Amino acid sequence: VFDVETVRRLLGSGRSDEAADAVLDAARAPGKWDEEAFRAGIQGVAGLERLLPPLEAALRGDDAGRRNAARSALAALAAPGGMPAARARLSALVRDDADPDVRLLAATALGEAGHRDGRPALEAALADRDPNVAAAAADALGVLGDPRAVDALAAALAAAAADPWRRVGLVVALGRLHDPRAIPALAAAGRDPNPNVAAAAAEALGETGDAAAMEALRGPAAAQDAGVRAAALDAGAALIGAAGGAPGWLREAARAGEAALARRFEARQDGCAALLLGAAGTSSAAVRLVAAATDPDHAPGVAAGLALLPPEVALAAVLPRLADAPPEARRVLAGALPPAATPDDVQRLLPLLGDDDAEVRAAAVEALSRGAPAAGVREALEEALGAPRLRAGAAAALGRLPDGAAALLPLLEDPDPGVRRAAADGIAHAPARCAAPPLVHALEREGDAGVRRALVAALGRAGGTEAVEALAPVARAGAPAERFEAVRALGGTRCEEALPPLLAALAEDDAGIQAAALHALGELGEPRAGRAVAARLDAGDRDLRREAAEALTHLAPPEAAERLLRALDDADWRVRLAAARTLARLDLPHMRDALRAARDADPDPLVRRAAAGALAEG
Amino acid sequence: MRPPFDDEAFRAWSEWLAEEYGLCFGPEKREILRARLEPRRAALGFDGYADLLFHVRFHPERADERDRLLPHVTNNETYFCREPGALAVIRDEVLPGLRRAMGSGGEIRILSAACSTGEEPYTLAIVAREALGSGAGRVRVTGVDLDPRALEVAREGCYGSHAFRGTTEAFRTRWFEPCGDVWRVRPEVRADVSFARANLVEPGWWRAFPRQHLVLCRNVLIYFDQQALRRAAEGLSRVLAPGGRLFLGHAETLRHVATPLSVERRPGAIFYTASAEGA
Repeated sequence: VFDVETVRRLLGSGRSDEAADAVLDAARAPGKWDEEAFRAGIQGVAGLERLLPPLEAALRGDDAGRRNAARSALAALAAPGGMPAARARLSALVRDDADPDVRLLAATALGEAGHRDGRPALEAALADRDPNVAAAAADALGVLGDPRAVDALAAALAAAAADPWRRVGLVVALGRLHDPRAIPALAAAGRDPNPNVAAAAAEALGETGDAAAMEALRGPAAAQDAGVRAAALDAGAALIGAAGGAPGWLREAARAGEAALARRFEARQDGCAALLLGAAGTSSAAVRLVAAATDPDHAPGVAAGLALLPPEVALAAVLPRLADAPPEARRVLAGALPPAATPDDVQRLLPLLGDDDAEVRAAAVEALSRGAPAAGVREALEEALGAPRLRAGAAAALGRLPDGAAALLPLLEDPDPGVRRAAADGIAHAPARCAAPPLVHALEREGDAGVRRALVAALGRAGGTEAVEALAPVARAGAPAERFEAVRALGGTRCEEALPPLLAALAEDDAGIQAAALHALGELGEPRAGRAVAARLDAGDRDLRREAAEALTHLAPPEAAERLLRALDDADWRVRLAAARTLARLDLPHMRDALRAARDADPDPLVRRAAAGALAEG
Repeated sequence: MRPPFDDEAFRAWSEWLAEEYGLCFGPEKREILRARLEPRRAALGFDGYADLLFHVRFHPERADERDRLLPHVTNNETYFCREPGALAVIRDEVLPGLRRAMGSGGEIRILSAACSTGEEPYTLAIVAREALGSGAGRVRVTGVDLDPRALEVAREGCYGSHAFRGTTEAFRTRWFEPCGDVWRVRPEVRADVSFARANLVEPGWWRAFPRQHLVLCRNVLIYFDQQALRRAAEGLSRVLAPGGRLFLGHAETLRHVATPLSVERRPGAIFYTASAEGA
């Protein structure tokens, strides 16, 4: 294990070769080399640059273990926060050293180092006369993950027509950049005549994690080669979340391969196969997924697979099993309930509103109120209000229907707190705002903590001065959970009188209340909050900086422009993302350079995309 | 329609689950994560997944909601006598060696890390009885997990037939008693086992436990990202007594994590050993 004191002492006494030996011994100990500990340990050690010549010499030595150890040590020295001289030396070795083995080791070290200064030398090495060095450079660029390498990798890919293995390496590296700008090159590689290249391209398209890559998989999914088709299907499954669903061609391809998917699912229970079975959407796939859901050790992707089934297939497969499945399985199955489309669906779902399990009840509420209401759903729910067991669930569902909230106001006086809570909750989710006075009166007389919290949320939805007057005292002095809810609800009132109580909440010590206040101030959108919110961009607490940055996207105060500019360099991606969005709204000329830099080089793909969007809007 | 799980919400959720619990949901598992969060989003009536995340991060009652969420986002696949190769090494080599070293008066402490619903700790208690006999000194097995619902099941000690898919009928009959349509762990085995809550990626979790002579942490680290793996490996190393053994799942390794442990190989099992002088 690395002993920094030994290295410090040896360097201090001019014995740099022995110091390098100590580092190399540590770096070659199997399972003991802790690069992070080494990086932390050498901070501030004087004379570190004297390690470079002996480490470089080790890179050229005959002992393979020592060569690899030298690579690891140089990578650690060249890492962010380390020595610029180490990065410069490695870059020079990659570019100019006569020994291809040294160039190769230096290239992998630059990738491992993870510092973006290494990118230019690695891009140049993509054209190295030694194919192994060029392959190592491609791999290192993938490890480095600097999106600015997309163009160089794509150009190298276009120029590597004669060498399919080199193309595979370049394709893999492009996928690891997780950048949508790689999609055109990968789409072209997906049509490569070599199946290894095409399959790697399909996999890399999945790795981009970008919805735009889905369409590029359509060709590989119809390829002659079974391996390419399988890779395209798996990549398509990986992109379902990003794309917001499975496109028709993926569903067709999954149906065509259902038998193989079913065998794979039985054998490995992998989530990808579960998703593709759901995308296939056949009754047989549904039966298989439902059966898997009732297995206590069911595959992780079963719930997601069930959710992809076409509504009519899902309902037919799920409802019959909901009655007798074990509790955990019932929750999984209920989560797959589709929106009721017909009066018959409504009647079949209604009994679940009285289920003993809260998650099953909630799923039924969603199924009955989600999307376009089915014919007769409102009448059925109003009738269900008369059935004690269904009353609370029916109230929650009614509130979510257009104009359903009016029927709920009398239920705020129901003797059952569960019903009162569901009614308040329904009003809080109502598409149309309800008048505040009945809610204020209900809050004044309510003693049940759960109902009070639901009423607080409903008051936020109602909005207006009366709601603020009722919420402010709760935000100041209610029970902890009620206070939190009241602070959040004040933001929803969209009423300027909510500003003082929210600024008071922001000044509290409790980080949770501060976060709720920041969130609410953003939602409130009152420009006078800008200065107080922007000040939180300098908070030491990452979560508060995030909430402040998010809130500023709604407020966009011009006086925060310089702070936001600094926030583009924040260590946290969400702060940078929100700052880019807000700067776009401010649209000040001198911000554009900063946004261009973020678009081109931010390490986070979402920030890059937000900056690109901001520039396009501007 | 269900609310969208956009890029930002997914990133925020996957980041939080990794930081808080070491759970790794890569981009390819986005739809899987969304489906797993959906029951809690619907139950709390939130319009989107970002609101649910805000709730579990900041709400004063977030601890309760996290307890309800965890069963949805963790994998609880486990059964009795899983990975018999490792169990054979424990029965035939590790436990007899420990008993010899400690003498019949010493207590052998075994930790089952991420024990889920308890099948592994009970298996270990049974294996210890098979290896050492019931009168050969005390063995104390502790099962830890971060999912409180799973721990409730573990404490109950009742299992359906599915949990016995890796065992023989004779094993079940000897160590379990029928209880309706399930099987209950016999009282003498239950007496050797206790359960506690622990999050393996939380700094210092190991301080709550005495040093353990044998630790099993199987099929857990595969779900961890590198940072969580480092934190878990540190805790697992620290909770080991001098000379203690750590068994991972057959597909797991600490090769890319620096630890003071040395690796040993046997047919059907790989395990790590702490230095006899201690960490």
